[in-house]
Amino acid sequence: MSARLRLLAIALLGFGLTQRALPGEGGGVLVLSSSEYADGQWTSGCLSESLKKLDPKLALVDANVVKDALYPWLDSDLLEDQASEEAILGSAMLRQRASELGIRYIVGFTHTTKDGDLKGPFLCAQSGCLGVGVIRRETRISAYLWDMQRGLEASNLGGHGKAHDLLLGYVLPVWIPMGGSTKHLACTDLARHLSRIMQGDPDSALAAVPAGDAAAASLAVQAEQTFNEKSALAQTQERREEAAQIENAGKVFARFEHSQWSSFESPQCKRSIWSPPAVGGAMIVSERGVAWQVHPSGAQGHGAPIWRQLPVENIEEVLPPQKAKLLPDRSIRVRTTDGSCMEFLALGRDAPRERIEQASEALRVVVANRTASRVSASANTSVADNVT
Amino acid sequence: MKRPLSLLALSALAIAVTRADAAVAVQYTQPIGAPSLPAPLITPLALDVVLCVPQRMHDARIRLSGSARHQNGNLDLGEIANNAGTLRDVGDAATASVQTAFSASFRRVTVVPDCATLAAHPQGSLLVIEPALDYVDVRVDCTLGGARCAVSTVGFTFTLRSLRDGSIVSWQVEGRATRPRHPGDYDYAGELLPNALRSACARTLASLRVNADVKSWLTQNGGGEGVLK
Repeated sequence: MSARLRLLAIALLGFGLTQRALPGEGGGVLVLSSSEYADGQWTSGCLSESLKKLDPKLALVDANVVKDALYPWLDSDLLEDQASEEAILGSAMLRQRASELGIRYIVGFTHTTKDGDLKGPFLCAQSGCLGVGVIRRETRISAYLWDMQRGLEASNLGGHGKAHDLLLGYVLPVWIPMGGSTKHLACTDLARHLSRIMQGDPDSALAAVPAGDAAAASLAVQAEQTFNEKSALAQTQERREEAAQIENAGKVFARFEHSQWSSFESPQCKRSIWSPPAVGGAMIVSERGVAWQVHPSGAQGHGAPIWRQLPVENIEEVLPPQKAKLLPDRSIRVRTTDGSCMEFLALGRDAPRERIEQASEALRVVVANRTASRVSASANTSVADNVT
Repeated sequence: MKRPLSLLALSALAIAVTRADAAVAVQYTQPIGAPSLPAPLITPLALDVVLCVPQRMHDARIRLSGSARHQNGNLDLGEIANNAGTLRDVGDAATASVQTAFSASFRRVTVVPDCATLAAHPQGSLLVIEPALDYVDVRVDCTLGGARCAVSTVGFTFTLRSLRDGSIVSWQVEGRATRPRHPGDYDYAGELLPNALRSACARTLASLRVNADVKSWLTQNGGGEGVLK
């Protein structure tokens, strides 16, 4: 998230606070605050209703009480700061207070996007309209989930609603609505994602491993995130290829929206890699390596992006973070098996330093394990040869 | 002839409504009070400081925009206070908010009214905080998600000055509050400004804990890492 420097906030900040009912303990508590904005209030209300339907054990509570109890840390503006988010999730005092209040999770929604178009042979002129058109309507709501107990975050959760309407034209245009409110569909979709985490085993969703193990914690958080990303991406035509990349990537450690790659010079690098300027786009770091977009023209935004991959087999070592000139610690650096070095930069507010580090660490673990198993296999072979 | 006349009448009505907005939006129906702030969940920094509240806190200019733009354009708070009778309270509310925020942020805060008379600062104080209210902005022409809204922002600049060597660090804080516009409800400033001040207080409280420049400066000039614990 959050603070992820969030994009334009159309619906800014609805909070949900939940205390998960432990087995045999009866109902838990769910709090959704009203937002300052009309859309935010609507989304808060819709999420409340939808979550309540999905899990009747959750009881609604006024979030303003909690905001006061945790003041200043949950006042909306603060959550646009990465540093504030780090302070919130990292503060033992805050987590203690949240625990006293019975708060386990905080849900915030960050922005809503709407999209749509008209397709089909449909024309209107002075004399009237003629044809049949299909109107596509889409709404997406993005959200994040904080586990206040362990200071973990599941970001990039999303709800997606899509509907098609029919437009008939014979002199007069006639609009025939055929789908429901996409806003409502997106809200219920988001509620399903959230409920899946809260109704399921929270430990498996957010913290399958002890806190402090950055790589493992990243894996746990990203596992949930990957699911949501897959489902959201698979529904958009323009991102099918990316969805396929994620599908083929195995376990995804992180996905960065704005990224680029380049070579860098280091005593460990035997040679430089050609790096066109301003290439980049999405980047996926997974257990199978790194995949990233490049544009044929060499400039971002021109031409259809194509995906390139650096398989984990071709990664010799994931180099420790170093102080880069421009973006300290916001890069993943690898030395490849042919001795060349590559640096993947994740830029913008969507790439908090922690996620870069977590992804880098997770990849490092995979590479180290692979190297270890290769050495072990090699040793076994040698032993076998000797025996033979 | 009837239809054009009807349209004309509607247009005239729309203009009248807009002007009504403009007229009443600056007639604050209630005094602008300081927000009631909850006890902050923050550990005070281990420092004794002096907070001086300069006259500039009351000299900020209020900016009104959108359909609420006052016919005189931008007015400073004193002028608005004379016109509307209550808006001078904004300066007082801002001052009170800042005092509340800093009182919670440090072990001991001594408030002095004039930054120029700091020669007699209390013994033991290492730092002086100089707040300034830069702007108060009320807009009633915003839209969000297709809905009409009103938004207020208040901007502060804070300066920390070392009493030892005069070194300083400055940072800015903006508080913001937004709400939908409801027909017939025009008391935007009365509701929004206290909320914007609450937001500014929250940011001020947090900034001392999360602003890297401020933390670094406090560590260097406030007695080491211990002040931040």
